[in-house]
Parts: sequence; structure tokens; C-alpha cells
Amino acid sequence: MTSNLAWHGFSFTLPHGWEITAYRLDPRRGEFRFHQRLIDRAQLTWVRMAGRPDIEGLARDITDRQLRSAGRDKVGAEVVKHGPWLVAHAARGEPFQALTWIAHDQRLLHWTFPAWEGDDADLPWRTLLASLVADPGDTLRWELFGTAVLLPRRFAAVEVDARPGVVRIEYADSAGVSVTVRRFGLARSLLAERQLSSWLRRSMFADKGRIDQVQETVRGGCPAVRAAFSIIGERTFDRVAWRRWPGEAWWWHDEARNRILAIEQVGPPKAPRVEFSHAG
Amino acid sequence: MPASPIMSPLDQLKLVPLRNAKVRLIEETAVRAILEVDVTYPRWFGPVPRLLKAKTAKKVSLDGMALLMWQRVDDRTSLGQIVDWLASSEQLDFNEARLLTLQFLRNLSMRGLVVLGDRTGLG
Repeated sequence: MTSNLAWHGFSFTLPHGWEITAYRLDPRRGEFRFHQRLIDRAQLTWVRMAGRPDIEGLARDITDRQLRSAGRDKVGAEVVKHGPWLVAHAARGEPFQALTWIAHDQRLLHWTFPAWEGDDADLPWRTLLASLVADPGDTLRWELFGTAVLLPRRFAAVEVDARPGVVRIEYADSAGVSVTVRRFGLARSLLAERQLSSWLRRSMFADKGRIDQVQETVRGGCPAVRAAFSIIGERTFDRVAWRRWPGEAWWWHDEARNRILAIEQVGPPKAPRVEFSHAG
Repeated sequence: MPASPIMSPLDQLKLVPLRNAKVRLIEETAVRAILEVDVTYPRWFGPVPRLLKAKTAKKVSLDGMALLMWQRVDDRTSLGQIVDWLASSEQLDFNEARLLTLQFLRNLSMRGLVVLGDRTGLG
């Protein structure tokens, strides 16, 4: 199945069957690795830099160093331009690079692919690179491991817990508002065991949340549960005074994709919230 | 001491999970199976469990995905085939299904119900 990856303001449509199998999510310097079944397909790294580097020189240098470390003779890399990307390759079968600079975010994106097999337009790496979107807008789309959320730019990812069948990603802003998205696989088996509202209650209990109200509803045509809850505030004074922070949670069953999806938001009472009542 | 060989994921997928032949089926419905398996004690316990009349069998109840996984273990289906079945039936990506399958089989193995065997040399 085709899936999307959107992180730190850049997004790609991944080729059919590609999966993220390893990640390092530091906003300044991070990476994803991709496999198709057990075959290594690519690596994406990003680096935030003070200014635009010499991308062509960098591409040639990386290619040369890769060849040297593999014990090959130095071969001058050929550099071609594909849209915003500079693609540097040496010989057929050798690893090759694609680099671009996202000016508004001062971020260098760097793909490494395991083997150069030519430049045909229908090769997966060509469609992958062509799918890049780097929007400088006020809202950012974050999409990873089957979860997706649209958040104001002030939010940043603070915690990713990705285990097989269970994914939890938390985003937060400087005002203390946190947004948590969840994705559970094996939804039919989970819901045969207990109802969606019961899973929500268990999750809230595990997170020390107190549920004030639960309502069965529909979200984007899917059976859903909406809950109002509160937790003890996470800032020092609120924690000492046991002042509670209000939150809302949406859990829904995406029957077509056999997933349970959830989005939760909690924060200080007066902090501005994100509107999640629409499906998306 | 020689280092134990590390199996590649590709070789791992060729392994065949085997049922413990001594497992007895006590009760089976569409949603649940109750199995009985012999209890084994560490050798250094010696005759102590027998003298203390410790239990010799335990019951294991399987339902949900654990039951489906147990039903797929038929001493012929390879790990790779089980992974493909889980990925297609539950709409999971291959590697997510692979890790989940290993997790379920590890749990079944810890309960003494299955073992992962290498039957690739048997033809």
C-alpha cells in the first residue's frame, strides 16, 4: 500500500510497499530508513544549517567518500537536476544521492539510494523525489506510521513510541498544550474483545486521566467516541496545587483500513487549542 | 567459545513454527480454545516438585489473535507465509506484520505451545 510521510514541514508520497523501519527524529539532524519487505530501499536524512551549503560540491563529495569507503577507485560523480533536486551518481549499481535545500526552513534534505539503475521517469526514486512538498504555511501536516494530523507551526513532535501494531506520537507547543495521536492495528480483534469506549477508558486510566463525559458519535463516517477528560497539570505550580487541565479525546474505528485512530488534546485551561472536531 | 550464528531475517522467514505435540485440546469454541500443556521444572529442582506434588500440567486459554495464530501453526506453514497472511488479513505493512507475528509466536513459545524449527533441510 502507498503511504505518506510528512515530518518537520516536508512531505513525500512513498512508493508502493515502502515502510519506515528505523528513525532518528531530532529536528536538527534526523533520518528515516526505508525497506520494501526485507530489501533496503533508501535512507532520508535532514540537517538544519545556518545557510545554504554548496549542494553540488556536497553531492560529489558524498558520492566520492562512499565509493572510497567501499574500496572503489575515485570516479567523478555525474550530477543531474530533477526539479528542486540535485542527483549525484557514479556507476550503475553504486549508491547515489539526491539533495535539496528547503530555504524557508533552512533544512537540507538528503536521500541515499542503494543502487543507480538509470534515470527512467517511472523508477520509484523519480516519483518519490517529485512528490516533495515543503509548504511554508502556518500549519504543518505531520504524517508518520499511519497517523496524520494538521497542526499550527508552533507545535513540534516531542515523543514517538512506535511499536508493531501500536503507535503513539505526542506533539506540544510552548504554552503546554499537547496533542497525542494514536494508531492501533488489529482493530477487528481489539473491538471483538471490548468496545471502542472501553479501550478509550483503559487508555485514559493508564495515562492518569479522569473522564468527565463520553459520547458515542461518528467521525468522517466512522463509528467514533468523543470524551472530555482532565489530567493533573504538568507545570510545577499546577502539579503542586493539583490543578486539573481539561482535555478532549476522539477515538474512531477506520473500518476500511482496519485501524483504530485517536487524537487527544490537553493543556492549561486558558491556552489556545486546536480544532479537531472535523474529520481528517 | 564459538559465537552463535546470527540468522538473517530472510532465513528466519523460512523457519516453520511447530506445535508442541504433547499439547492437549480441552475445549474449543469459535472464539476460544483451552489447551493443556505439561509443566516442566528446572532439572536442578530434582525430585522436589514430585515430592511436593506440584502440578504437572497447566491450562492455557487462547482467544482473539493468539487463537488465530495458533490455528495457523500446523507444522507446515513457514513463518514467511504466516507473516503474509497476517499482513493481508489485518491490512498491515510487511515488517509490522513480521514483528507482530514474532511477538505472538514468542508468547506462544513461552507458554510451551510452539517452537520455531528449521525444516529447510527436510525438503
